[in-house]
Amino acid sequence: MKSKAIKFVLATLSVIIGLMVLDFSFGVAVEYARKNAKGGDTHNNYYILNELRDSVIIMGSSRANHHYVTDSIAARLHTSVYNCGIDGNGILLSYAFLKNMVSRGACPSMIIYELFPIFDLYENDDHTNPLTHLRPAYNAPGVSEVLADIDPDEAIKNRLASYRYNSVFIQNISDAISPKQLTIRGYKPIYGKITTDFQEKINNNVPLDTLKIKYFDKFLRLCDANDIRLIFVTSAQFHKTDLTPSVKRFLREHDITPYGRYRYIDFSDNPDFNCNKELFADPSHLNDDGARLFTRLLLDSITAR
Amino acid sequence: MILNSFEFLRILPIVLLVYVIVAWAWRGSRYCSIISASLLTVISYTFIISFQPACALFIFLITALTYGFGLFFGRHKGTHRARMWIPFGAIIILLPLIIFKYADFIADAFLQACHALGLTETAVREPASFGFIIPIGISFFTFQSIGYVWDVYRGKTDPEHNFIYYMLFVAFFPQIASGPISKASELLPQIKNRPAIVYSDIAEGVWLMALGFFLKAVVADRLATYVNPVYADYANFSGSTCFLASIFYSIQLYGDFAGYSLMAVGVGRLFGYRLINNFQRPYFAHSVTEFWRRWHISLTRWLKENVYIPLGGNRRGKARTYGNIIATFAVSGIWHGANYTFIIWGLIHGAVQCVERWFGLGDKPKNRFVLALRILLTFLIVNFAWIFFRMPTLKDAVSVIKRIVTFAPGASLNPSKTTILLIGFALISLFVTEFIREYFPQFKPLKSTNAAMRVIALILLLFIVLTVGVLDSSQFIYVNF
Repeated sequence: MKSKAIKFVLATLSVIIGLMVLDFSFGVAVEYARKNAKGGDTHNNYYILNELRDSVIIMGSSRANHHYVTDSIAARLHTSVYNCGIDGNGILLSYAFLKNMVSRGACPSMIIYELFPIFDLYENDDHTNPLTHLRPAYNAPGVSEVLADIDPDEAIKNRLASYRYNSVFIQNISDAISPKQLTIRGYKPIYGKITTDFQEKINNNVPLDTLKIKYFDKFLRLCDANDIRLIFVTSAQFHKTDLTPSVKRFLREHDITPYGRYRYIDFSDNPDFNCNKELFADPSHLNDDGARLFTRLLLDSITAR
Repeated sequence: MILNSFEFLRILPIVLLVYVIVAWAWRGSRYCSIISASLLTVISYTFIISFQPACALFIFLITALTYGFGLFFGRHKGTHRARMWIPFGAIIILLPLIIFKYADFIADAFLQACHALGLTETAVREPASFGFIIPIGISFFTFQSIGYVWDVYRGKTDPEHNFIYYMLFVAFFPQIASGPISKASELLPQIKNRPAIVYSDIAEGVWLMALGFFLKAVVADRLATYVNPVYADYANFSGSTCFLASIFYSIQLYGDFAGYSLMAVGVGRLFGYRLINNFQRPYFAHSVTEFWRRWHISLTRWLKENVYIPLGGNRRGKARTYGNIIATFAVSGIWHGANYTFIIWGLIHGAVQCVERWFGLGDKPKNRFVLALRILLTFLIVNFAWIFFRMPTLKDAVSVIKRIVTFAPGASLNPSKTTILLIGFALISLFVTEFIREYFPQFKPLKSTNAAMRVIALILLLFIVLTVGVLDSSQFIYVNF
């Protein structure tokens, strides 16, 4: 009986220690790959969280990422520009990124924010989308704040490297060896055109998300406190979708209007883009031609004022 | 608190330790079983309250009712009085299930029928809704307790006189949310003669839990990243994309439910209890009839013993047998949910089994090529039926099927290379392990007698789950039923 108990304790300890050793080695290897990433999402994420010092940044979801051509903006505004838009993300990730930049003393002078209510205001997800992008820097200012609000257990879970780099380690390693994805200062062009007819899904009855609103407010305050010029934009849409009354009210209350304290530029009903299959890669995203045309029109609008 | 949540995993070792200490402190005492059962009952009810506080009340209500009926039918075994009371008892026990799960459906069907008969002037546009929140696991614990009452009535099991033991039988926490549906003759003797916790049970329990996690996080939840966006917007996706999503859903559902079942069996084993294994590689079945001997085994057994056989089984001629099969699977469909899609799903399974019976396709083909073809055909039939199971309405299910069979043009989902790699890893690892277990059962590297090998295998399994599993503690699909 005694020997069985000793064997059991030894086996349990072996599993725990073995797992810890494996996890630590894995963490060291993946962190090395992240630091030495030559491109792709890994380099993009590492750059934003550790090195970014550009004066104009683009923030928002995949629509930000695929619609704002950084080299065009940089050439026109004569400054350095980086596109921090990330697929499937919105205000939570943007706040964490910005807070991180501010705490590093890398405060941008202007932010062009692609407003997309699904990720910025609506209650449509469980807030887990930013986790993958924030876990590698889970202790950093801003990052830990958002992680704790999404799931208080994140601080404990992230001590395991295998959890921190869960699923993304393949991309991390591949980006260190030979990155496949082309990015131009964060901007990811998409090529191709819409070939089929898409049905539009409209839901006007989505409530606003309290956590997203909380971070939206914090984002505005952070910009104000650091003298960051903030421009909200709704970029071109294939199917024009009107903002719901609750979003319109929210924007009005926060003075996010065409001539408000925070400028709002709306391209959603621009006839050059609506239903123009030549300029869209899919119903939600412009292709590279569309993005370049949109960026030009946006810059005209920004510089005209 | 669900079995795959961080919260549960954090609390489980503490609960287990407390249980082991209490059992050890009272070892040899005549009160050992009752104290252990009381402690596990408290743990089980705490677990249920963490899900839905009100749910504990319903479980207690069902427990009290079926406990009373059990004593009654035990005392009046084989009498006219018992025969008079059994339908009444069944209705009473099923009433909460009917009210909470089917009230909206019944009211809606009634209104639609009234409209069809011209009894209402206006068309019924909005489905009826009482707004009830369905108590978690209601279908499972109701069926388990009604099975007990039926077994007592038929004299197959003795009534349980100790209320604590019976409370634990109904509410045993690993199986409360999604089964397996245990029989009284399996679980009650274990509760009454508290099984001694041995180290091998704890080791086996951890193994089963890790395997369950693998199926849930690495296989099911990874495939869900493809299935969910396609089914949510199927009208914009091509027929081939919808077909691929339907295949992935079949595998996702298996990973999800078999994963839960393994975790439930594993947690039970940690506490020394042996629960029924719910799955036996169902997608290697060579007929739909055999599929049901391998899929959700505890429900199939329940339906056979409590619906099919009481209806007459296969003892009353061919036509009646076919009718009984159809009726049993219609009940199975309704049990899964209050929706026409589930009824159609059940009827498809029943009808195919009738056809198999008619053509005598029950036996395993000897020719390997024919066997492979039959396995493929069975998978495709089951896959087809799962479309009804997955979609919210009959119209949606038919639309998805239309897109598949007409090779409808549309977009294709293009997951990232990492996602493709992880889906590929999930599918290949599942197929290889299932294939080996099906055709080379003697090959058991993970059950090696070498302790070091077992430790290394467990470390690797846990590491795989941590690195490539989807670790968002998502809910299990069958918890909805």
